[in-house]
Amino acid sequence: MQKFPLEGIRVVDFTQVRMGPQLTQWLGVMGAEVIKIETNLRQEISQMVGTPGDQRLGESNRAGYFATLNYSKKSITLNMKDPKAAEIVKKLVKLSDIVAENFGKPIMERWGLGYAELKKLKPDIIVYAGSGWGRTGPYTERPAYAPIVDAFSGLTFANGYFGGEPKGVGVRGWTDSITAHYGVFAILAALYHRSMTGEGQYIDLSMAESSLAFAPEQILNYTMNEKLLGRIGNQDDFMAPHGCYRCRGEDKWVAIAVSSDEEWNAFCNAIGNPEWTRKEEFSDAMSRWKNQRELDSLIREWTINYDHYEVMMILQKAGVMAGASLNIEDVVNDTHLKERGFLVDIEYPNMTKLRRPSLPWRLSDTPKGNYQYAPSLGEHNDYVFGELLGLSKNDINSLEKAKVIY
Amino acid sequence: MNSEALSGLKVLEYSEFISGPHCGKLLADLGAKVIKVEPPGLGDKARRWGPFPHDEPHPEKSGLFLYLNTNKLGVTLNLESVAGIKIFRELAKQVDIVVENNPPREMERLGLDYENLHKLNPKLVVTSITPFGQTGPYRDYKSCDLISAHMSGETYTNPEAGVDDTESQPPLKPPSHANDFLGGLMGAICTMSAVIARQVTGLGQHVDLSQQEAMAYLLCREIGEYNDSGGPFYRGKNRKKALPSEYPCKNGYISLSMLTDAFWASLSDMMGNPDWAKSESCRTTVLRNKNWGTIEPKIKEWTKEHTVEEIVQLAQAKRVPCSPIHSMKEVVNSELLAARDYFVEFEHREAGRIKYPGAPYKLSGTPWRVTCPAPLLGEHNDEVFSQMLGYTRQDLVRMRQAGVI
Repeated sequence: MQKFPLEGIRVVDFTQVRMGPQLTQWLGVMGAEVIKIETNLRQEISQMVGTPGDQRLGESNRAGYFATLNYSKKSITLNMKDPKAAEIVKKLVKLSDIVAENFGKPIMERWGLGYAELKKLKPDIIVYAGSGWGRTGPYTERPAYAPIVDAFSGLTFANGYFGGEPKGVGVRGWTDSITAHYGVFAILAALYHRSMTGEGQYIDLSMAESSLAFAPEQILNYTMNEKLLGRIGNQDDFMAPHGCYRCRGEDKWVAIAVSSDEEWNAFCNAIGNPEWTRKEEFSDAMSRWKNQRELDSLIREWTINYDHYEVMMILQKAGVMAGASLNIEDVVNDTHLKERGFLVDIEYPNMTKLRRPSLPWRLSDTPKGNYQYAPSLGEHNDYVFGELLGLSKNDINSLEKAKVIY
Repeated sequence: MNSEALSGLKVLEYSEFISGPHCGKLLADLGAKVIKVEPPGLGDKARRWGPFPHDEPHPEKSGLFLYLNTNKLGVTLNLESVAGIKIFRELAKQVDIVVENNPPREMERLGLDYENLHKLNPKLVVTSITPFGQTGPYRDYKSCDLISAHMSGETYTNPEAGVDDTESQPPLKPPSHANDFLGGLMGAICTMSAVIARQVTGLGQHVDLSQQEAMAYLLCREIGEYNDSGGPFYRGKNRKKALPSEYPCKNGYISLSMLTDAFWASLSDMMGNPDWAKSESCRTTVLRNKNWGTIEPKIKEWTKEHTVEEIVQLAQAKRVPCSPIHSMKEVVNSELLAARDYFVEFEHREAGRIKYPGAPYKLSGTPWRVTCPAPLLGEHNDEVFSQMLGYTRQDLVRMRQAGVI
């Protein structure tokens, strides 16, 4: 009985670094067999960053960054510089459903593995081509770095404190991640379409356009009214209080938002109805918004006496939107996330297990996910070349000697 | 030949504002038939949000609503009425997917929780998008984008380059409603996976999407590092141990990449090879990151003396990755996005002709498109209630009089 939705789906994965691998990882966790094409000739940057458990940095494919984004995949080595490698890939494509790459340039085409070629081999193949700026248009030759893409897309312009300078958005790989997730959705839609019609297709997905995808409010403000929205930090267009307040302890904060008179009254009650809450300048939503600077400093005088989780619990109990502003340690130790099973332990055959966030993929009648350890370089050469493609041990040896399987 | 990827799929959307509607939009824009249920009278909260043409609020002209609800059919239903619930249930029997972003208690109160919907229609995929999920101690917490963002850990890492003063500068929420949009996108992924699962099992499932988890998951690298080596992490300046990318110019801001030694050499060239750039403290990436405190102000001194355009020209000549920090004005007028046909213009009966963003993916066989603009409130009551449920015009009049629709 099928456990995971994508069981039986095979992915030929040429993707590298973040934007692509995060996408193919979703496919792997949802049950697909993801075959990652790597090579001894070159290491991905992710293979050189981070030290997991008891491994030494540089022990191939075990670096933390790589492990984080490449679990639930298989690894083979192919030296694509040799034309024989492309011939092997073609054999593999005939047995596969999806080919994924994010070279950004026509490198697959150069290898004779462009969509037109692949379609001849397998007419219903789904090809995913991620890139920084799109596979068409005037920027195809430009390298894509997230800070540059975000500067282009208006994301950086919009990020920063109220009245402050534009700042690059945090979370390493934010835009890469967003791109990856649009890619997962597009691929699932293409898979569904294929199941109904037998047709595959080519998916061109751009990081720059993904970076823009959460900004329709800013875009429409301009296209409708030629207005440019500046940076407002933790503030809001109409809600007040709406911000982040200092709590007891080192660098501890709590976020609070009040969106109605009802919530305001609840808030005032919860903090003990101090005299200042009855001032005229806080008596209605519009006035609170106008006077939020004063309001914020008065609220801070209350929150500073409490632990950030305490404030959250007091206010949530009263029906007020509040949340402790969590740092990384808080996220790992949060009671709610623990109960939800947010972290997953991925077992390794000869290394301490890796603890990572699980995918936010919770289906009621499906197990948590196909979480498998990140492969060593070429770990699945025998399986793929021998079992799947039927090459003999001799053939494989020759190809290894000739540095085709390399 | 089907030229829409998700044609044939029917969705009942009972959600408002951003997260649920974004999920519904992703499905509708690729051809799913999405019936959006709104309360009669005020309708979806997004109708009051704007932006509005000429800043004149109007429930049929809110930019956020118009964008998020393209390609959907719009009906009104009062779910506080027994008749309204009955109609909802009748619709739920006929669709493949229900998308909702209501508090878990709310759906229970209405008798529209997963258990009940599953009994009604075992093939139903029910996608519930909430700030904290359907279970756990925070399940009933009230939230908005600010709260969700801060509770995911994301704000701790924003801005990327760190803050000058951790006492006066709190963790920072990213622009607009990123957490809500993300919830919708993740919801759509999970929905499609359940639809695909159903092709084998014949049964629906409950998709439990927690926005907190969705965003916290994006911190996989930071959390990975914490678990592997314990951090430390801090918010102060240079938390990333790298030179920031953003610099002020005479007439705006620019983003310059200084990731590699090659880029640094080129940047020095651009700056006229000043002595300080050739010093030991600038020689390697590691050294530059270590000494960013003295280096960053010097770079700023130089950038402030030039316009954005001057620096872009110099950078392009030296092949240093760079971009002006665009406002939406430059974005909307960008030659790249025009060449990519990224923006689309179409008419809406009330709001008129407006230019909207398109989609970040281009599907060769089943392209993204807008076949109809966002619905007016209750615009498709007739079509949906008569055609799908067999109600007559008189029935609908009575229902309207009784406040059911």
